[in-house]
Amino acid sequence: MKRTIEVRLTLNGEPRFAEADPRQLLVELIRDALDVKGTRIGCLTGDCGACTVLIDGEVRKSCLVLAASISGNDVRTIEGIEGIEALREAFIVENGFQCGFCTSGMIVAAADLLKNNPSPSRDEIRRAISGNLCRCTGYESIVEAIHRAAHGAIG
Amino acid sequence: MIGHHFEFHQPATLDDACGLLTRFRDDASVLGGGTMLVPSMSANLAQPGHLISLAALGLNEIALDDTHLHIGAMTTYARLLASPLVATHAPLLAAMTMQVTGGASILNQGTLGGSASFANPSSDAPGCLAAMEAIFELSSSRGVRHVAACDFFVDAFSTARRADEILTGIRVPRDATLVACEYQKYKASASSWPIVTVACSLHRGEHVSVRLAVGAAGRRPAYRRFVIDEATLRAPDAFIEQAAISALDLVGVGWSDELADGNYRRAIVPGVVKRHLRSVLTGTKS
Repeated sequence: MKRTIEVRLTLNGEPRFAEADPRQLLVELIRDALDVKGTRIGCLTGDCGACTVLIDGEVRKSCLVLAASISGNDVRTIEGIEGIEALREAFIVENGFQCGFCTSGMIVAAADLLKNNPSPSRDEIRRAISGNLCRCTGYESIVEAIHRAAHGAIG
Repeated sequence: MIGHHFEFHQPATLDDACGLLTRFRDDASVLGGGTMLVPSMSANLAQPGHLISLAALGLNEIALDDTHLHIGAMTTYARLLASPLVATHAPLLAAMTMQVTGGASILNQGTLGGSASFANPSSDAPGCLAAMEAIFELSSSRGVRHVAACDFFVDAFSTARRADEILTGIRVPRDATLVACEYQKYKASASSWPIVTVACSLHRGEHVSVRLAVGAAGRRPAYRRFVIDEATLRAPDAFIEQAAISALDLVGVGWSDELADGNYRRAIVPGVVKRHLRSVLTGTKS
């Protein structure tokens, strides 16, 4: 039985290559083999969203993807998401994190929302982050942070 | 890292995929979107010796012909939501997909075919597909066969798919008689799996008919088509009461899991069936 599979991908704009064990999840490939640590491992059940990344521009949970199934895809993690300055500022201003464990996944999901819908309502924001859990339950300030990033301080 | 060793296959053609499945049969699992199988493997709940990914086969087209809407088994919920064909020709499916939980990442990754194949009683797809009288296309090295929804969902986590078959597509019959339809899931919290789902529709063709499917309450979706007359449509109270009793009979033994036990689910059924039948039959919400 062949034990490793050659995986090629573009990670945050750079071509990368790794030998993946078939048992390895994409999030483990990113963190352990490619040493890019911003993406978190939370539940490994697809519930928490701490491992949220973009694959070919679509928001995905990288614990639900086998590393071996990646084949030349464009993968972006929190380190490589463009245009998140306003989100970063707003998360600081609104105190959109407590322990910070969910933050990278929240910001990837929020950036995806704002790219597709630059002016979301609070309900649309809640729906967009409904696949991301905050174990500190700091949702109000996270929603406000995303709202501020989209609309500014008023509203 | 998944705990057990397995061999990963990503065949380039359906023939190759069927060949692998014929060879490995029960020692193989077919990987669709991965939202259930991959975490089950991470938790050592599923331990196939061979994993056959359908990712390279396409199988994600949505197409219309004279009689059916064809949905590739690998079509994600996001593609269903974005499809004008689904919105127009399968409004019940569109309504169900709107209520899928888990956020954008699950919509982008979860597939209708995967959900149907997994046949978790506490899920959206089985009840909705039963109500639409969907037809399941099962492919193997022996050929293709088609199975109606009422025969496809055999039991909890069990379908009519044989060990060497791959679900390659779902057909939804085109229906010019559809007047109104509703899908609603009842759940414990915003992101919960469903406790009970109701899918119902009113049709006016040669006869007036009502289709009703209750999901998540029993081990498999409970489905029945009722033929009614115009007088019943004008004064539907008695019919609605009888349909609710009939639905509970069809549900049978309630489905129990960590979210809710079977008695609780059964207790919910009559009220929600009556609510949605009334809404579809009279156009009034309650």
